[in-house]
Amino acid sequence: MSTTTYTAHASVFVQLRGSGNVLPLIQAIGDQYMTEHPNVGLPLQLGGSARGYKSIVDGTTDIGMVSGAMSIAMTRTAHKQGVQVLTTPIARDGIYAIVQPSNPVHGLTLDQLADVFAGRITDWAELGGAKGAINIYVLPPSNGTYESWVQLVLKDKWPITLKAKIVYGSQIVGGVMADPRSIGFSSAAYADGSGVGVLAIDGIEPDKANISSQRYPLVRDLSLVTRAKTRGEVTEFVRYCTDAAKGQRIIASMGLVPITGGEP
Amino acid sequence: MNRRRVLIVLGSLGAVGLAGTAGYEYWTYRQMTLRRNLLIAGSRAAEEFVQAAAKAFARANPDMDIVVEGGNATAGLLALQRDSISLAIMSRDLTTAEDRPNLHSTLIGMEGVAIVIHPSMPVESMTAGQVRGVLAGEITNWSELNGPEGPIVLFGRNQGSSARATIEEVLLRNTAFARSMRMMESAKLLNKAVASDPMALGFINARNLDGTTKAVAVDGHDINEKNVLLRRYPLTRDLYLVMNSEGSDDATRFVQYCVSRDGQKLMASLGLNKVR
Repeated sequence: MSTTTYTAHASVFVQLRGSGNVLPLIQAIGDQYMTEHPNVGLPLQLGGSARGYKSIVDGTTDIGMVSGAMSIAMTRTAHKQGVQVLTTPIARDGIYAIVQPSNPVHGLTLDQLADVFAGRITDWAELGGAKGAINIYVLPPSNGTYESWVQLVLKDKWPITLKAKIVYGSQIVGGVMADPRSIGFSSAAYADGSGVGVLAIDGIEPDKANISSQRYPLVRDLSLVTRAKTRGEVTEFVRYCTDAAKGQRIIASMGLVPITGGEP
Repeated sequence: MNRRRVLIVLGSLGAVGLAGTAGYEYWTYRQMTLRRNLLIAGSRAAEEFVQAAAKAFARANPDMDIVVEGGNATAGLLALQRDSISLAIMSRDLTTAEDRPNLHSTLIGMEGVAIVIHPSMPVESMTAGQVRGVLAGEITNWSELNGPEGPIVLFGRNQGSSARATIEEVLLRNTAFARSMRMMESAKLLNKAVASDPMALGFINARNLDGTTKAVAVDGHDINEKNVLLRRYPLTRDLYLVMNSEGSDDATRFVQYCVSRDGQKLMASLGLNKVR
């Protein structure tokens, strides 16, 4: 016979909010952190990378979890309000270009990929595949992976073609799997183990070594953002995440690529 | 023009008219216009927490009228966008589609709901899907949950309980509770009922766990402060206050009160997890 009671220990709180790509890392690190610091509570909220940045700029959260760059509009707002945002990368993540496994195309150049997503190449025949229109699947613009894709593939110069179909979260993998003429993109977290076809870019496979060395070109950092001036408890948790013996060890144990030491 | 503005304008016209005729009415009018007001509306499920905070806030600010109205989150958000209210209450975060650059949502508490059974029942863990099936009346025998052969006796909470609202919002969505479920007036009565029936299953706010019943793990996660805050335990709901950039100083102060030491103590006393 066992019974349950519920005790709240935390009296100091550090709130985090943002990307679902960063969430599992912070859940794992946060679990250990709260065990080592029983007086600290870490409420986690989602909402995507854009919400992560916004919550730091408008001061509604302590730490934003982000997987892409801050949008130009949000950068402007931060500047206007005199808010200085500090970004600390905690892990490195590869973004895959994904196709249906039956697709005979196994690799593209970065330029070809840009042409496809900008709508300048519209048929698989132009890429050495079977003749047929290319169906493009993208995540919504609020998603950090979308921001990274626009930045890394389209160089922030060209918009994604309006013909692209928007799919939410992990459904992008399912959408691409179900369509033989599809192409899409996904963070490693969603694609690994799904059986989806992953393209080599400029001849480089997105394996862990190539992501860590950044030889694979579509690599972005998973980061924590804070205000430059913040509470000691907030800084302390961010430091814990970048600590080689603490947060970074947990990140490595999860199969992600760690980053030792923060960036200013 | 929104309704509140119409009412205020009409009110002052009437008062000005009266003010011309008698000093007393003019004084009343001045008192009236000096009073500040805060209109808060949104999720009915979260209303009781904000209602309690409003009461405490009004005591400290006797010159302020605060009206808290239930309804639903979407309507509250719409009213906020139209400047008809000062703050919207949400029992979930803004969706991507709802979010606008001028909206700012502040987390004021998190609620975890425990699935409780008799301490002697040898079931330690259920999936969220199983919990849903049981509460909806699709799973009716303990043997379907790796327990002994025997019917599951269901206990729930009456309309107006926030634990019930959480289960409805997070788990059941548009499915109804099983017809056999007996609705209890309070968490205390529910604990009592579950503790005295070896075949019982019910749900209560985590903070009402009193050591007489056993909470099962859901999707492999025990219900405790850590798992609720870290969003591992799935039967969890977040409460937010949303204001817009043009919001009044009073609205900002009310939000600040809700996340202050006193405000959070109050939220905890009502069964929420502190988040500040």
